[in-house]
Amino acid sequence: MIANAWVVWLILLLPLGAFLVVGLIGRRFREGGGYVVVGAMAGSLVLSLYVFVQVLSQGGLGGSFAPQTVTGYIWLPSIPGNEIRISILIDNLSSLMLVLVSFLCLLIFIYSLGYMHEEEGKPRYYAEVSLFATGMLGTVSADNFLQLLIFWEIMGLCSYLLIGFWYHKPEAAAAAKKAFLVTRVGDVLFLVAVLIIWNEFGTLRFNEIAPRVGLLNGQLLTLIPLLLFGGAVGKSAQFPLHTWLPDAMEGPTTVSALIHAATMVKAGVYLTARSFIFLVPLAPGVEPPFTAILVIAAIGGFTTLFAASMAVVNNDIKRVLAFSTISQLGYMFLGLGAGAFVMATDTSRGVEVNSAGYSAALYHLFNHAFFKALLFLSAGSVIHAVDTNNMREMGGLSAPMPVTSRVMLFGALALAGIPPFSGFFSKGDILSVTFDAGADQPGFYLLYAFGLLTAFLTAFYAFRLWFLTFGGSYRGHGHPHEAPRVMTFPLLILAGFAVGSGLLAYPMQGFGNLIFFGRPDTGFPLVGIPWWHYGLEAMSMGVAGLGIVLAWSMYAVPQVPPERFAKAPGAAFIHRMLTKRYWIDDVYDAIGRTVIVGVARGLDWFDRNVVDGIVNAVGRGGMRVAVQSDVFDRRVIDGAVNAVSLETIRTSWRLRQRQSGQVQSYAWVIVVGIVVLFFLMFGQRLVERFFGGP
Amino acid sequence: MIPLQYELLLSAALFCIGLYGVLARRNGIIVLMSIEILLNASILNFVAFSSYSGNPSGQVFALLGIAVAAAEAAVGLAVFLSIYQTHGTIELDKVRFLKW
Repeated sequence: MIANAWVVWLILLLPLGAFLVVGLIGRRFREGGGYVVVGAMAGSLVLSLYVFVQVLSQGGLGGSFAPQTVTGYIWLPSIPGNEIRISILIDNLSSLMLVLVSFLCLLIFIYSLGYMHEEEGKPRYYAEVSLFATGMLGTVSADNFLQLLIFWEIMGLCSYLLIGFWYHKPEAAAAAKKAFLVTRVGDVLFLVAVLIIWNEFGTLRFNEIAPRVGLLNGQLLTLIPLLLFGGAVGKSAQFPLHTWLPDAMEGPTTVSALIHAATMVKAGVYLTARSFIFLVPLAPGVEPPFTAILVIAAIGGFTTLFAASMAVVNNDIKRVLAFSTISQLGYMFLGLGAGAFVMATDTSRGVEVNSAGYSAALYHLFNHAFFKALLFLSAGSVIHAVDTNNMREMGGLSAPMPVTSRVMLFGALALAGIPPFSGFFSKGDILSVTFDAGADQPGFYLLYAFGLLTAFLTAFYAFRLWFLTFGGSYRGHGHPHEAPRVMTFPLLILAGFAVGSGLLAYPMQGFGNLIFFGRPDTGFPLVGIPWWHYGLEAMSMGVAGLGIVLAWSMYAVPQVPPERFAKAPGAAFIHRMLTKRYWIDDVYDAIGRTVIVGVARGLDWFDRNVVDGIVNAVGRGGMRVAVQSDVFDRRVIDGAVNAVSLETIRTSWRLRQRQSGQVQSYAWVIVVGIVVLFFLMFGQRLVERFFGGP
Repeated sequence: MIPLQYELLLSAALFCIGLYGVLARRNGIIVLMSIEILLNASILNFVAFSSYSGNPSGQVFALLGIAVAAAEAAVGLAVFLSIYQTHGTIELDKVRFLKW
């Protein structure tokens, strides 16, 4: 049990409050409310650490911390016990993610104070990043799928707003729209999954679903994790929904760092990690959905190579990093897939479950968060100095920017996977697990080959980027200068983590214990590891070294001019294909232009001719009826009324002529009247009296 | 005892004279006097039938009629006086302002 568990609400409410305050009255604060947002985020970090330390001290390390739900208010009432509540789940994974997200957001916000100093619209920026952080914190702490989806969508909104921060630039507006629409494809799949889960279980809470997974039939058990993974593919920019992420570089660099390191794309990995309750059912005797597992691993493995190949030829410093993110996320999904496969086969065999893949993937998420934030923020510092994203106009920046060049070297080494930098450990773990999974499913050997090739390409493009930016001599104009201390300070901290985050896990007996999935990843590091894993690690290290050497020979000491590759027959085609991003964006655009616009045209025609025709015909008919009714009204009804009144007037006119005012003429009428009445009443009797009657 | 027929004939003659006065004379005072004759003709009828039948209630009605006639004469004279004061005449064919 966590003491003072209510503070977890503050972790969410602090950045949310900062969003409201800065969004409404940000202009009144210094730096457009930047300090408010930083302060709120620091508060969130402190509280997250408070929770995390408690989780660790209460058995988190040994893996016996019982997940705890901080129950909130009932949001959607239902049958008692079935309501949908806004609640927070605290377990090893979510408490770690809370710390990771709030820590990185804090560093990025501090960095923003320097980076965004001269921008217009700072209150808007700070309000939106604060909401973004709220979205991610809410996503990783949600206790059920619906709440997760809500915060997930908040992030989707914020990514749209922030990628389009410079909305007056048409490319930025288009990129924002693209990011929103492409991720929406995944979000719809996610929503469908949530609906199916609700329909099947009557609950959306992870902890209530997990023991009941056995109730599902095999098809749904495959379908649900695939749909959830569909959401993750959109959010984490995996093939085929990867196209939005490179374009998302149109936003400020800090936003890219936020999206790539701390929030947004990591949510997809987190969701897939949460969907392990379906992939590796805890209930005995349930056949795990191997198809879904293989799809996840295959898409991850394919994307990692696919994206890395595009990073190799790009000249935009931020886009190289964007492709690198897609590639590294591919590693994570590969690790999750392979890990789920190993766990699922272990479960169905009834042997002790090895959760190494699960922990390796999240370990990579953890390490990647630090070194990718570092790389993006250093790239931001470079862009800040030289005012361009194009690496061909950089070069030789080591001298004017010593801090940035060194921390970025750390980041590149971590990304390339050179020990003792963090990327080495987690990437090596993922590749080892993939290799192990190959024993039962040979397809994983192919994915392992993909991963190994990617390790080579990763090292190559990481150092291509570094050499092009900092090596050689300056090719641009102007006078680059080191960034202010408010920007270098977060870089130094992140550089420390790029070195240390890999080692950090070892004193804790491996990262697996830290994020524990119900089965401890036992064993002291370096002991009890199969001997071939050392060979695998050495191999991934070797190809990474090879990549660095190649990059060095091509860009640092131009022994091998890159043009030789680009112009060789056959290679030219590949080069073109890679710069065109395999024409996938073009294909999507063409589909958008022909199919969607064609359908829209057809619907437009239908609308104009058929629907409007019906509406107009009905309208015209109504008008005709109205005209007839008007005629009837005027002629018949008004005619009758007027005739009655006219006749009344005429009659009264005639009658009043008889009123002459001559009293004696009235008297005459009376006398005559009486005589007439007399004869009418008594006339017959008189006639009988005098003439004898009949 | 005078036979009933004579009394009724006298009454009818009086009535005719009165009627003639009401319908044919123009002077308002004459018309008023003619109305008195009409009333007296009908009162004579009451008295004649009373003495003929021996029922005294006819004579009570006669007394009532005389009282009414007196009241009527007073009201009528007052009306004509008022008309004379406002219009300067009591010729009935000139007093015709109560019309449309």
